[in-house]
This record gives sequence, structure tokens and C-alpha cells, in this order.
Amino acid sequence: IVSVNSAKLEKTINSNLTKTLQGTVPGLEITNTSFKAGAAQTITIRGDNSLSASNAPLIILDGIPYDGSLNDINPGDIESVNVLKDASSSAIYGARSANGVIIISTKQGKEGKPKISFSSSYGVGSIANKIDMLNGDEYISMLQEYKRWRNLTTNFDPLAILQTNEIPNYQAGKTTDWIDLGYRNSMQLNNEFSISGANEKTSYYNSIGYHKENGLALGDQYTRVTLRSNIKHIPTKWLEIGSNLQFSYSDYSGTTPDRTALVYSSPYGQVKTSTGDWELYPVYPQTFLYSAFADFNATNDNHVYGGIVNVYGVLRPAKGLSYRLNLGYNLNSNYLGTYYPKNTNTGKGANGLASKTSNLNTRWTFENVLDYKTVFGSHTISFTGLFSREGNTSDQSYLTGQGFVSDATLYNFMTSASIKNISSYYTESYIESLMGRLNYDFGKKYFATFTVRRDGYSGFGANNKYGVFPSAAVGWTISEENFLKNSTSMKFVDLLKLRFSYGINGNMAIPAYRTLDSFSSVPMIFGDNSTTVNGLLNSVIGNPDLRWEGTEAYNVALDFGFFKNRLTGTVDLWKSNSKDLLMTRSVPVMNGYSSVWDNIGQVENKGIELSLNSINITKGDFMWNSSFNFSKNSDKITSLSQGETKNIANLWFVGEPLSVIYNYKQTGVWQLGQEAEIAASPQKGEQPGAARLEDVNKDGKLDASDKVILGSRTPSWRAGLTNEFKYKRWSFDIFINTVQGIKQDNGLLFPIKYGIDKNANFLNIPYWRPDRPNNRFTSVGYMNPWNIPYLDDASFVRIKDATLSYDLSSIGIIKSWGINKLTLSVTCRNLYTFTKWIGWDPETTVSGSEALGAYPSAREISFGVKIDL
Amino acid sequence: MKNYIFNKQGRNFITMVIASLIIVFAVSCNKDFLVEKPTSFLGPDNTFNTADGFKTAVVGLYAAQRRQIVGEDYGLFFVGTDIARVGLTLPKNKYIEELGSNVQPSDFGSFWDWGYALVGNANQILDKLKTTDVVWAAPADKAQVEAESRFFRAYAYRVMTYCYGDLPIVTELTKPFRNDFTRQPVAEVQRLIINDLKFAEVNLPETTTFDGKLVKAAAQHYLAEVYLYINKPDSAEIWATKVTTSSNFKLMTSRFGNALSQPGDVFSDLFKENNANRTKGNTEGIWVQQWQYNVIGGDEGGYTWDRRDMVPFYSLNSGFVLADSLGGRGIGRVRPLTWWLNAYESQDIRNSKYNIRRHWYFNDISKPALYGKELPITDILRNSGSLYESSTKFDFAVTAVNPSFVNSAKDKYIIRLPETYLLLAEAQMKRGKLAEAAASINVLRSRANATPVTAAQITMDYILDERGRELFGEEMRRLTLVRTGTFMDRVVRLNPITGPVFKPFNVLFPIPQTAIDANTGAELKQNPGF
Repeated sequence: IVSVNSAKLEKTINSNLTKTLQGTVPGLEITNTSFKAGAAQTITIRGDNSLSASNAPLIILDGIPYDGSLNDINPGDIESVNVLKDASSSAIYGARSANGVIIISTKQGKEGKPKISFSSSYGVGSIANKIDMLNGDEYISMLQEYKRWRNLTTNFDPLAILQTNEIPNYQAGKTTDWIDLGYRNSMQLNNEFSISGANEKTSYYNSIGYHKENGLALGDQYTRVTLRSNIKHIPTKWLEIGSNLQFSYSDYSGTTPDRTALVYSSPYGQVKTSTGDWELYPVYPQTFLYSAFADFNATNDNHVYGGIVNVYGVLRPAKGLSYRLNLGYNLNSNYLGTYYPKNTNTGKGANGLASKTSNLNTRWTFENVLDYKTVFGSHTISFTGLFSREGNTSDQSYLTGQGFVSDATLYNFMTSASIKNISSYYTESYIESLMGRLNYDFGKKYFATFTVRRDGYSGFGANNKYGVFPSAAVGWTISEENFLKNSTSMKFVDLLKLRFSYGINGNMAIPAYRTLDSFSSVPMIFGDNSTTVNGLLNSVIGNPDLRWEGTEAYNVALDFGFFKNRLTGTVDLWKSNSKDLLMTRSVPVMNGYSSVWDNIGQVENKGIELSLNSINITKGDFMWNSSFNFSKNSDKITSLSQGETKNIANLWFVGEPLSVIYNYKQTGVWQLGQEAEIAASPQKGEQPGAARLEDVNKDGKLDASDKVILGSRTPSWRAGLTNEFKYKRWSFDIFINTVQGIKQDNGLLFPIKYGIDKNANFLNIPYWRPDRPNNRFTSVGYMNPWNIPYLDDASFVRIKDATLSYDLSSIGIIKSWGINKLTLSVTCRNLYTFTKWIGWDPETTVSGSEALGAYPSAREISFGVKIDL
Repeated sequence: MKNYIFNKQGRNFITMVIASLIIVFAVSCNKDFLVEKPTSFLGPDNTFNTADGFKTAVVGLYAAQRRQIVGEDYGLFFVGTDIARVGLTLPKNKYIEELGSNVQPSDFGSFWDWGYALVGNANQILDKLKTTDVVWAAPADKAQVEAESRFFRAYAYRVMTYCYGDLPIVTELTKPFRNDFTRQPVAEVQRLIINDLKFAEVNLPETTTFDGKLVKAAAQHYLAEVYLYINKPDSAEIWATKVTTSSNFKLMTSRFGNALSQPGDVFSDLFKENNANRTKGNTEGIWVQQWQYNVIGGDEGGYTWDRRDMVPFYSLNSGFVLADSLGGRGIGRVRPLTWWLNAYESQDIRNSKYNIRRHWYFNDISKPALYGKELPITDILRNSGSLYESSTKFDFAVTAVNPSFVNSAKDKYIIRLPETYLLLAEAQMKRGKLAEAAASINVLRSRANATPVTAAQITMDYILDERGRELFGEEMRRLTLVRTGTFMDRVVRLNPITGPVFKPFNVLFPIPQTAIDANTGAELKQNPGF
């Protein structure tokens, strides 16, 4: 268990919890796959356990499973975050705890006079690392080299090479920096206001938060409004009742330019037409290379509403005995509407194209917890029994229409569309759990916990709905032993605790209805312009034998505190085996279908985690603290279906990590003078400037058997270091994190991904030319016939946050205004990144062609003020 | 203890709590809580319980059959045969044309996958017809559902056996799955096809008001074909004659349909958009696959690849812009061989400028120096796929509204009456009735204004040439060559690229490696040579 409290969470100015947690907890892996405004980060705990199912941890918000985005929670409302990584501690959260558990508790009022808090921050940012594209002259010489290399022309006059729309700009010497055109400075504004307080019987906490963000891309924005009300009331000693309410509204609306097109568009491309509309084809219509702004006039509205109602009651009828009833209701609703008017690329052919999606997801939770605790002598025994049920529904409807009379009605009057299509979906699923846990503690020296649970999931086959999952943990506080307490040589030891846990946790891993056969509806017509009739075809062939995935995990940990707890920390060693993984298995298509879901496959994960906190210096008004964390884990597939050693379709290999890059091995670039060698190689017919590939099995052919594993997309280790300095009213925090040992294919290095054959721009790299030979980058004319990846090391070290704050609370005049606390701070985020990666942010792990359009990260500076009355 | 409810009551309270918990736990034994109740999708249980459910499932088969034409592999029916070669390079087409070591089994499995998916869906309906009692409005309805299902099953096996040879024969949807399939001889497959088609022939209607639905003549046509395949020309002649003498179908001999105001001839009218269906007065289409641009149900997730394959990528040439008058946006994947271009008499309407585009004129107004002038076709242009002589059968006019649309949504003849005449001629020739065979072919030639063929000229080669002239791009040529056993001979003589490298085993595609790999319970043998 790793805990993070509000003091730590509130230190840096951040719009959401995951951004703050990133890199600070060993084993908690948080990655930005996009830096779009409001984009959620992906979270895993101790790597991936499942091949097909979600690897996201279970989030428990105020005791109840939470389905919404962590983005929807106002970070200012959070009191503490606990991360449960081992099998025993997460076992009480059951059914979906195999991927670890994140427990979030929100704030409660504290006894005393009502506290009014207000905090506000404002920040601006710009692209941290703008990629360097070729300028006009370089672009032309690149195209000339492309055509020369591919022997496409004998006329290298720019006027012959440039296309219709480029020529006037070229003649006028006018170039466009498309990236500058499509991006701007980002902005973040955050306001939070809360009132809280408590007397001996009642406590309350109410807050409202408003957050607004403009992303770097034009038109990209995110707005969030959150409301929270927590109430706790203890009318008598034996009864406690309370509620937690949360409402959130998030607005992700906005149309942005096509980021990939911003990268590939020719510097001589035409931006707008003579009438002031966006030019759909900056280069030439026949190329179908669309402008980044071809759909920029579209409307894209995206609203998410989330509500949580949790109520609970606790009865304490006798000493040590309590019964708790939790009732939770979670509601999440998403409304999406898009309209592509007739002057956009997408709307043009369709004569206006509209769509509207409504989603409503609900979850109810009903939980009974019986606790009994007794102490006799040095023995403390406690028992917990739990019975819970949970129901989930998901309801979606989707409408599209095209052919509109007017653009003015957007997606709001689809009645007037000439072609309409509707679809709707509904799923429901249920979980039932029963759990018993026994805790034993002897003299605060020895600890033991045993848990057994039985979980049922509606999505499994009739005979396999339930799974039984046991776990156990033991602990020994060595520092409580007399031999340590009395030892003078070991006097520096304040805490030494050894823990061991073992357990199996279940993962449901599949959506509802996978045990049943289902059809897909296929529309058909009989006759020209006739009425649509629907047909049915097999879609899913159910497997009634599907059952729980189980993850068996071991964990050994040592907690320590030395030198009057100036140096504290934890070391964890762990290993897990996930079995019966739910995967689709290929079956002979002669059955009439080619795959079924089945419990096959095993994955092993193991790792080491270290966290260290040290008070380096405390001298008078000056203090320097450091905290460091490190985690390394390695995953590998230990079994696939029926003795299969590889599954090429999914790139799964027994004995290898879950996510690998598998392809031909590039050993360099063919050079001038090697023509004879090329002719004698399997790459006969290629020319200098092409990628040189290895014929691994030396059979004189390049085929599937020459493909090898080139690297893993999973980082091998991560670390984070926070340094905290305090001097009088000043404090300064700096946080550095690193992700190492990760490879990605870098689409930005592929000329072919840009569409250079259609006059597209290219990244400014020293690509191979006869006068500029090199062994890394191929010629721009190389069309990559073997489809090899251009691999790059995506490891990085990042100075992530630096915060300087000044606490005015102790100034007399401030106090005299009745202000208890006043802090001013400035935070710089994403200050600098050290990496070998060429391109946008190395953290955006999208690969291949998408790397062109990865959303860049911003370097930001924010100013904040916090006032408590 | 003072802080809590006093002792006695306390005990009662505890009893109460525990009792209520027991009740709660007892509720947990309620097994129904975790039972899934599908209310949002259709499956076998809630579909095959009414006659309408069966009819809906059969509509699915029509959709599944259409999928044969969607995707780049469609071109494999033409390139590397005696009629066409690769225009613009597509690696897979190139492989099958050059037949080098790059021919990987994984590249040619799409018709296997398509075929067995169609077979599986048909089998499921046939299984459920046997095991489920539902109320039918008329007994003929049930027979028609069975007839359509068996027709589609036969059609899938027909295509697959021509492509791959011996096949595992599966006549039920196997659940749980099997992995011990073995290949049965072609003769067994032919027997299944004949049985299914015979049932379909009896129970399909003579005509239908729904364009695209199966009629009796479609089953008769394929019966004629399969009897030729098993070398029973007498049976083939009987079945083909049933179609050619049917009062429901006859050749179109004068101009018709919605392009009358444009210059053209009856042959070009046959291939104009929305002219193929019987309800439009066309009596030549026996089975017309239905497609429609921008209509729900008018596509199959994609459209047909006809136009994409057959129309050259002329817009690659400076001075050309995409235009419906040039066929729309093609990308020139399939290019006819030279012998075919020279196989027509000049007066043959199938060779008219309306039906074969042999001259190309610049059409980009923004290039006034070129506009209106002819770009002569050279071998360099032909080899690049950007300009060649091409059939206009597959022109599709949607470029004006959607220039980047590259497929075609034009209805497609799967069986057109002239092919039945050609099957009839083949049967007659095999029985030595050369004069009758010539007469059958002359029905087509006289409509086309071509010189009648004489009995002395009738050979298998002549019939295949005539099929090329009449049915270019319509008949899936590879299948015809396999059936007639002329593949090797014709390719070696007529295809300058594939001919020199063609080996006897190249007649068949390799079966997909995925099917071999997944069939772990028995050996599924690969075709020789791969």
C-alpha cells in the first residue's frame, strides 16, 4: 500500500489527479498517450496482466467502485490516495482487483469553525518540442531527390515538380509553416471553492470547481465543472450515517485541424481559396491529400455528465462490532454531436453529414460489511464479512444523417436528412461477491491476514459464474523485537518490518454476452432505390465454458525507518502469474466461424520496487527533503493456446514480453559501391539508399521466417525523484521522472507515411543522399516495400514539475484580515526532456503513421493562489 | 459498555442484525441474479422461432454472397489468367502474375474464408429448419428458405472448389468447434453442389418482383455448368436449354433503359447504371447482384472493386482530371491482354467506342495547351497502369459528387443469359453437335452484329474467346479456365508475363495457412507446389 495525502497532492498546480501522481508511486504506471486538452492518462499497476482485457486498475471512490474518468474528480476534493498493489491488500475489493486498486478518499469537514477555501491558478504554455520540417528550398530539393532516386522524371525544374496549387506560391516566394498555423499557446484556468466544518455530531464538506483548458491545437478545449457534498452525521454512539455526492460536467467540444496533415502539408501548399474558404487540397485536387483544415468548419460537441450518490450507515451495536451498509449509484452520460457542413471535405460528398450519440451508463452497488474486533492481552483479532451486489447497464443510441437542406440545423434536426441510419445497444451485467477476512495481530509484532472471497459475474457460462479466490499475508515488525530495541549497535533502526503476501485475484476480463451466440444485422436491398431490408449473419459464437481469469501473486516487502526516521522507505519484490487468460482463439474457418473466446494463455510479471524518503538537511529555517522511487518490471507470455508458441496475428510469443516489435531486422542502409552485394542479396533490384535488411536464416530469401523480435514497447524501468527545499516562507519543489528501455517505431522517419509521392513535406533529417550517405536514414525515395519499422529509443528523462511557493500566512496583516492561510505559487511543467527520440513527445506511444499526428506536449507556466478563511 | 446499547437489548439487536444478514446472504443463493437475459441482440434462440426469423436470416446470405466482390483480392480472378494482367502494381496481384517464390499461402485465402463463412451461415439455417418447428404461411415458404440456403451453399462450394480444388465438406454449423477437418475430393464437392442445386431448382420461383433474388433459372444455369465440369454434356445441355428456352429470359436486341438520350448501343445500355434489373425492362440478367451508392443496404461495408480494378489510373497523367465521362476514379489494377483487344471484328458492337475506350483525350481545362488533345497510349503508359484500352462496363458515375470514391456501386451481373448460351454451346460441342453449338453462339454474335460463326470453327478455344468477347470482366475468368481444364494451355499461349513461368500446380490457389494452422486435430494438406 502506498499512500499519498492531500498536502502532497496540492503542492503542484495540476488539473487532474493522474498528472500529479505520475512518476511518484513506484509500480503505478501512468502514461500520456495524448496531450489533448482533457485527455485521460492510461494507468496500470505493475504492468499488464491480461492480453485481451483491460489492464486498468479498479478505482474505489469513497468506498464504492468508480467507473468515470479520474479527470472528472476535482483534485482539490481529494484527501488521500492509496494504491494497493499486492494480492492480499486488494483482495477485499474483489471482483476486479487483479489489476490493482486505487482508493481515493475525498475530504471531510474538520472540527472547528467553518473553513472557507479558495484556490485559483492560471497558466499558459507552448509546444515543448516543435518538430523541424523542411523549409521551401529544402522541400524542393527533397522532391528532386525523391524523383531522381525513383527515376520518375528527367525534368527537375521546380515548376515541373510542383503541383498546380503550389506553383503560384513558389513563384511569389510564399511559404507556410502549417504547424504554426495549426497550433497556438495553451491556457489553463482553475478555480476551486469549498466550505467545510464539523461539530462533534456532524461534519460537512461542500465544494465547487471550475476548470478550463485550451489545448495547443486550434479549437481544442476542455471545460469541467464539479460539485461535491460530503456529509457525516453521528446521532448517537451506535449509529453513523453519511453521504457523498458528486456531480461533474465536462465539455470536450471543439474541432481541431488534422494534426497529421499539419505535418505533411507542403510549405508551398495553398491555405485558403480566393473566396476565403479553406482550400481542401493544398497541393492538387487529384492527389486526395487533404488540408489539415478540410474539416475544420465542422461542429463537434461532446458533453459528459457524471453523478455519484453514495449513502451509508454504520451500526455499532456492541463494542468491537459494526455493521456497515453502503449504497452507491454512479451515472455517466455522454452526448456527442457532430456536423460536417457542405464546405468540408467529409460533408461535401454527403451534402452535410450529422451524427449524434447518446450514452448512458449506470452502476448501482449494494454492500454489507460486518466487522468484529476483539482484543485480549497482546492479541488483536478482527473479522470482516462482506456481501455485495453490483449492477451495470450501458445504453447507447447512435444516429447519423446525411443530405441536409441547410447547414444551419447542425445535428439538431436530423428529421430533415435525406438518408438516416439509427442503431442502439444495451448491455447489462451483474456481479455478486461474498468475502470473509480474518486479521490477527500479536503485540504489534506479528501480523497475519487471511481472506477468502467468492465472486460471481453474469458474463460467464452457467457452470462457471463463480470463482473462489483466497489470499494471505503475514508481517513481522522486527524493530519491535527486544533484540533490536536493546541493541546499541542497531540503535539507528526505528522501523524494520518484513511483509509477505500471497493471493489469487480474479479478473472478469470480458464484456457481457460472450457466452451466447449473437448475430449481426446486415442491411440489404432488392432493386434500385428499393427499401432496405435487414438480414442476419453470425457475429459472435458464444463459448458457454468461459470462466474467471486468475492472477496469482507473491509479494515480499521490507519497510524501514532509520536515523530517527530521517530515512524511510520500502522495498518490494513481487511476481505474478496470470492464468486462464481470456483470449480469442483461432479455430478452423471451416466451422463457419474463425474465432471463439476461450480461457487460454498465461502471463508472468515480476518486478522490484523501491521508494526512499529522506530528510537531507533540517537546519534552522532551512529544510531539504528528497524522495525517490524506482520500479522495474518484466512481463512475459508463458503460454498460449494448446502448445502454440507464437501467435503472429496478435504478435504474441511465448517467453517474450506482451508488446513486442516483430519485423525484419534493418542492419543499415545500402551504400554506393555495394550494387554487386545488393544484386547478390535477397534484396536484388533495390538500390543504394534502401534499407539493408538481414537474411536472418541465411536461406537467400527474405520471408516471414526472417522476422525477429526487435524490442519491447514496455519500458524496462521507471524512476522518479522529488527534491523539496524550504526556507522560511519559501518552498521549492522539483520533480524529475524517467522512463527507460522502451522502443517504438517512429512513423515520422518514414517518407512513405507522409505521401511524398503526392508532394508532401518531410521531417528535416539528414536522409540518405549520394552526397550525404549515412547508415541510419534511408533515401526519401525508399518506399519501404518490406514494411519495416524505423525503430527509435523512446526512453526519456524529464524535468516534469518545478514549483516555487511563498506562504504569507504568518504575516501579521494577513492574519488581521482573518486569513488563516495564503500561499502564492508558480509551477513550471514539462520544463525539459532529455531523449534520443526524434519527433513529438516520446511519451505519446502511438506508433507508425500516427506518430506524425501525435499531440504535442506543452511547456507550461502556471501561477496559483490559495486562501483559507 | 455504557457507551453502547445496554446489554440485553444489545444482544437482541445483534441477533437482529445477524438474522438480517442471514436473510441477505440467503438472497444471494438466488441464481437468477447472474443469468444473462439478452434483450438487445438477436441470436439463434430468438430468431429461428418464427418464419420471419428464417426469412431474415436468408437475406443475410445475399449480403454475405456480395462480400465476394469487396476487396482487392477480387482482381485475382482476372490477373495471371489468359485475359488480363496487372496494371498498376499491387504486390499480391503481381505475385500471382509472376508466380515467383513470393506466392505465400496467406495471400490467397480470402475466398476460402468468404466461402466457409457463407457455408456456415447457410448450414445454420438448414440445421434449424430441421430442428425447429415454426408456423409457415405456406409450405412453399419453407421450401424456398431451404432452396435459397442450399443454393448459396452450392455457390460457395462452387467458387471454392474452382479456386482451391479438394475441400473439407461441412454441412452443419459445428458447435463446439471442430479442428479435425480433412479435404474431400472435388468429385464429392461436385455431388454436394448438384444435390443442393437440384433442390433449389425445384423450389425456387420462376420469377420474382424483387430484383436480385434467386430464381429457378439461376439454379439451372449452374447445374448446366457443374454437369459440364463433371463432363456430362448431355445433362448440361438439358439444363442450359431450360434457361435459353424460358419465356422469362431473352437477349436485349434494341436500345433500352435510362441512357437512351446518350449515344450508344444495346450492349452499352446493358451496362449503364440502374439498367441491369428486370424491373427496368432488362430480360437478360438472370441473377443481378444489387448495389446502390449511399443507400443503407446498398453496400457491404465496402463496394465492388470493379471500377477500381478495370478503369485505368488516368488521373496520374498531367492533363487529366477525374471525370465521370472517363469512367470515374479507377486505379488500373487489371489490364486486358493484347489478344483480347484484337479479338473483335470492327463492326462488332461489343468493340464499339461505347464499350471499349481506346482513345483518351486530355480533359483538364486548367491545362489549355493539352485540353482536348489525345494522349496516345504507349507501352510505358500501359505498364504504369495509368492509361490503357479498357472496357466501359465498369464505369460508375459518382465522381462529380464524391471524387475520391474509388469503388463502384453499380449492380453487377452474376449470371447474364449470354453465358447460358455459351454453356449450351459448350455442351453441344462436347456432344459433337457443332452446328447447334454454332447456332447457340450466333444468337450472341448476331445481336452483336458480328459475322456468324460456322460449325467448322467451333472449338473449345473459340468458345473461350467468345466468352472473353462477350463476358470480359463479368465472368470470373479463373473459374472458367479451371472448369474447362484449359488454364495452363491458354495462359502459356496468351499471357506473356505469366505464361513463361506457369507450372501445372499454379492452376489452384494455395489454401490459407491460417486454416491449416488452426486445424490441429488433423492434417489439412496444402495444395502441391506451395
